[in-house]
Amino acid sequence: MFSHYLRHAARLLAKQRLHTGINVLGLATALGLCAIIAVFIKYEHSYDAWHENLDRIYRVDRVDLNPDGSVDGHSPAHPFQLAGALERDHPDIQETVRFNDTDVVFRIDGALHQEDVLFADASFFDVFTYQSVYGDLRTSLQDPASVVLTESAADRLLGPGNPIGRSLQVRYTDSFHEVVVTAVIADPLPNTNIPFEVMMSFERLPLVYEWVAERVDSWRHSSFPVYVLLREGANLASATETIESLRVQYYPDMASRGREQGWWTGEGEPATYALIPLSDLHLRSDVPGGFVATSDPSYSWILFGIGLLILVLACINFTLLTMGKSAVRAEEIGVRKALGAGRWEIMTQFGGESLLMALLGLAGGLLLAGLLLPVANSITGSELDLLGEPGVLVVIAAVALLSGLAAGSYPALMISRHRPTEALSGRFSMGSSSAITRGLLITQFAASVALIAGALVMQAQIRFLQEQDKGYDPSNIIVVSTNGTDEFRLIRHLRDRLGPQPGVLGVSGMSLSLNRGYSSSVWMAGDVERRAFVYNVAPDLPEFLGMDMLSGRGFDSARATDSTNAVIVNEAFARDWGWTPEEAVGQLVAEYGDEPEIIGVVRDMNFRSLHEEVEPMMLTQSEGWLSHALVRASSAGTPQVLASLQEAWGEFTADAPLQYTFLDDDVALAYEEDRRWARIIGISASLAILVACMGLFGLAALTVSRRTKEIGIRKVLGASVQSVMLLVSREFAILVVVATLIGAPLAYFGLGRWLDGFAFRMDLAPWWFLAAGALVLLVAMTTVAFHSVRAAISDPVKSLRYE
Amino acid sequence: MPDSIIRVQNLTKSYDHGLSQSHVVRRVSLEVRQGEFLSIMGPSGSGKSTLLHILGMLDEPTSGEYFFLDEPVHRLSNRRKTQLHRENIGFVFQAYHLIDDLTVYENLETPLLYRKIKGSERKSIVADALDRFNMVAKKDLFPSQLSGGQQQLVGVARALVIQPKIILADEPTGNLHSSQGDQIMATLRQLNQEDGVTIVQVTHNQDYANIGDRVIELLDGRIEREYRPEASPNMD
Ligand SMILES: Nc1ncnc2c1ncn2[C@@H]1O[C@H](COP(=O)(O)OP(=O)(O)O)[C@@H](O)[C@H]1O
Ligand SMILES: [Mg+2]
Repeated sequence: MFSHYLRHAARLLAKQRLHTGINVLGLATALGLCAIIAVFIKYEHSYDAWHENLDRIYRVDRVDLNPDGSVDGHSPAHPFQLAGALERDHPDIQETVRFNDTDVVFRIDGALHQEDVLFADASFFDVFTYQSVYGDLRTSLQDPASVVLTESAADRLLGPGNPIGRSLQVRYTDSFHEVVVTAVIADPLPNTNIPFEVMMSFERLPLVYEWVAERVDSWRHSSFPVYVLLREGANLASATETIESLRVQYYPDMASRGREQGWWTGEGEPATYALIPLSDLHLRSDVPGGFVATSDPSYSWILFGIGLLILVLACINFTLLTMGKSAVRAEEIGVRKALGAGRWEIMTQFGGESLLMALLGLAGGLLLAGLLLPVANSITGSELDLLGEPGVLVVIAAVALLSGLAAGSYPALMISRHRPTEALSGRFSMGSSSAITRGLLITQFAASVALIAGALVMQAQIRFLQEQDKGYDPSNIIVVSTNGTDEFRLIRHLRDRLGPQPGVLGVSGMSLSLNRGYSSSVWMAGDVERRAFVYNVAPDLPEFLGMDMLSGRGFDSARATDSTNAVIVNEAFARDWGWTPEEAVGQLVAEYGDEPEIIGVVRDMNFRSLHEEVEPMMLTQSEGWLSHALVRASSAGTPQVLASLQEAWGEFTADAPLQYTFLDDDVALAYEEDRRWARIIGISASLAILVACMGLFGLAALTVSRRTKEIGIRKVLGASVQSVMLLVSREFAILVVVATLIGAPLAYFGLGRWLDGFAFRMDLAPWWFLAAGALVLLVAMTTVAFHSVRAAISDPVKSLRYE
Repeated sequence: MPDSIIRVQNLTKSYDHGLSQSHVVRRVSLEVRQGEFLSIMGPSGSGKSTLLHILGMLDEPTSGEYFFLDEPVHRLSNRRKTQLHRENIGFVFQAYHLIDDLTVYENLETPLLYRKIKGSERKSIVADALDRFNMVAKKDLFPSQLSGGQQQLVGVARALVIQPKIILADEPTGNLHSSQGDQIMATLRQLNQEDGVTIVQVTHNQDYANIGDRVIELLDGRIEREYRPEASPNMD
């Protein structure tokens, strides 16, 4: 019996090739996308899931308070001593692990490698679960001169084979020291808050870095993340409180110091503590990340929504086309009823055919997902794996079958309802004229219009951001990391070596590359809290970057005080203090350092992302350190300049590799997330309109075949080709117009909210939505035209004879 | 076992056309006995097919009573009606109405599937039917590969496989050449006489009508005349 129906269904699927093709392709597209999205969501929700102690591992956060008691923010960095105090005196804490991550230069067989090294306490491998390939993990970090590598890092740095006992040269500050490989671990999964390839002993830090050594006894400097392993059955709330009381015990004068220095005016303690479960960390967008950024869980849900939407579109095709096709099957249904089929038998037959279609869609979808996974990985920046997720595959299979049932059940219900005589006489049809069909088509096109408007506007906003006048010129600037070398000597060297070259327009330096990092200062001036982003710069930086000096002057190397007690501020700074740019010149910055004098005011420049308003900024020379040398090349000369830069670096030092970025790229980094979302919405929009148009293609074919006779008669009566095309297209065109009226306001609302996240936003002009509607109309009409043209130029006598 | 297989009382079927109503079957009362061979005649549009569809439970009357094997069909649930239908009634159409995408074998198998007859038994029943109608060689052909006469033979065979108590045939020979028609009529007659199957057929052919025990003539949805072929004027 089953084989009877299966054979019949297979024959039908093969015969109605267009119908089958559209349904299977549409479902495959949607299911493939859903599979990828499901794997992504699973990936996002299983960060660090493999640690055996996961439910007991927490990050210690200091929660900074405002004087009114509200939360100002979380800080995951702590004094050197905190972990020891917790381990000694906290009854609920079994283990603690301190971290620090720093770029370190290794010399291996004469070659220099810069590596991002994670320093961790020896307890690391007791708290977190990793698999050893070589060596004993429990003792691997006990010697301060030990280094643990992941398998791929060991391969990359040392080549294949067991590297245990090999010694490497590591440069701390300015001399090389020896470390020994004590263990190699299997590469951990990529979705972790604590990624590392090279791990060294935290104990080593104070021995080799002066800045750490200075802080070993200090409770005032908070620099090191601390993770803890709670004892089994520990109470989270009391464990948190105990941390707080221990801090007060060891560092009783935090509040009084704050009052003295003016940054704390509240009654009680300026900070409390929180224990953030490691398992929650990745999706907690309200706290700072682990060693990687956290991600907003709403992204998962937006993607989920998009996947669902496209699945619904594919199901709508399925429903519409099956209903359209049912007229063709009317006779069969009548006969089957005459042969004794009840409503249930007809419904199960049609339901079964839908399920078969869904299974084909599933197969296609998984194939598609496999092909598109690399693309998804490059967009989301993750390492998704489809076959490693049998749970997800089962869910997708269930979704496929459910969609088949959902999409097939309405037509099955409708088809099975008719009396056999109605069916036999072909007196029922469920064509494109019914209200439900129209409603479903409008839904499809409204979704397409909304997504396309979204894609257009998002692209436009990103272009708008890039074309914004930033107040300086970031083009062709090479940002060279000083990499622990003597930065002033480096800049002088680069000036001497590169300055005279034809392709080089200038050499300068600053403490932090724009948009990459910043250091902001907050201080009390009288009763007012003042805030400024402070950049330490080479004296010629304002001219070098092309900033507009509104009043006053730039730094003058000839004046001694300019390098010690002078600042250049921006308009926002002057505004904040209630000065015009002219008034600001000559003022002293009250209660900041030695109260430097403002010697000039520059036009506001967007030194951070355009998501934010321009904030007060100070340029100074007095901090005495620079982290980046800047070289501006002419646009044509860039490759040459890079080659000379490499050469000049080689002459300058053999102790560190050259590392550089382009300022343009650093600036673009701030919009990477936006660009990623624009791409995701763009791809979704394309898929949505593709699926919607596949359905339209099938429906138009049905409409034309149903109206063959009418079209034939009209042509015999002298109708022109255009009028016949219009006849077929008009109905669909009206639906697209209605869909635009529905989809556009939805998109307007959603995009308005997205744009609210930018301090600098484009105008949401109505023509974006008209353009989206017009685009959908164009694509829809082109799709229909394939059939309407065929109908219009067909031989009328032929079409009448067939009736 | 009740004596009458079908008994209808004041059966009416009308269609609404907005303002007007058309009465297609008007207050028809009729009884068909077990084992009877009844022919229905009448001009085109007189309501013959409509009546036959109602008797075959393919359509619902607007009013009136219908007893099938003494069960009141007009009061039964759809489920019970489907059951009565699938166990007792075979229907033969003028337009054959074979299922295009099923082979001859599969077409014959279909009514047995709905009666939930198991695989091996189904196979032997279909094999018997193919044998009886000399269609063994054609069992894997599709309807479009058969002549009209052959298709109708499949139609009759398909009505028969469930061993129905009654076969309702709506102009079974209407689309056939006379020799093919003769063969179909001979088959129906044989079924009636040898197997005791009750037959109600609609026909325009007086000779074929006369094969039956009794003829009724419809005109405008009413029974205009009823006679036994022995007494028919044509036979005189
Ligand atoms: N579904 C329907 N709606 C309206 N009129 C119908 C319908 N079905 C049949 N008729 C009308 O009922 C009348 C009888 O039809 P039918 O029973 O097929 O006659 P016959 O089989 O005797 O030729 C015809 O006039 C036909 O047009
Ligand atoms: Mg008729």
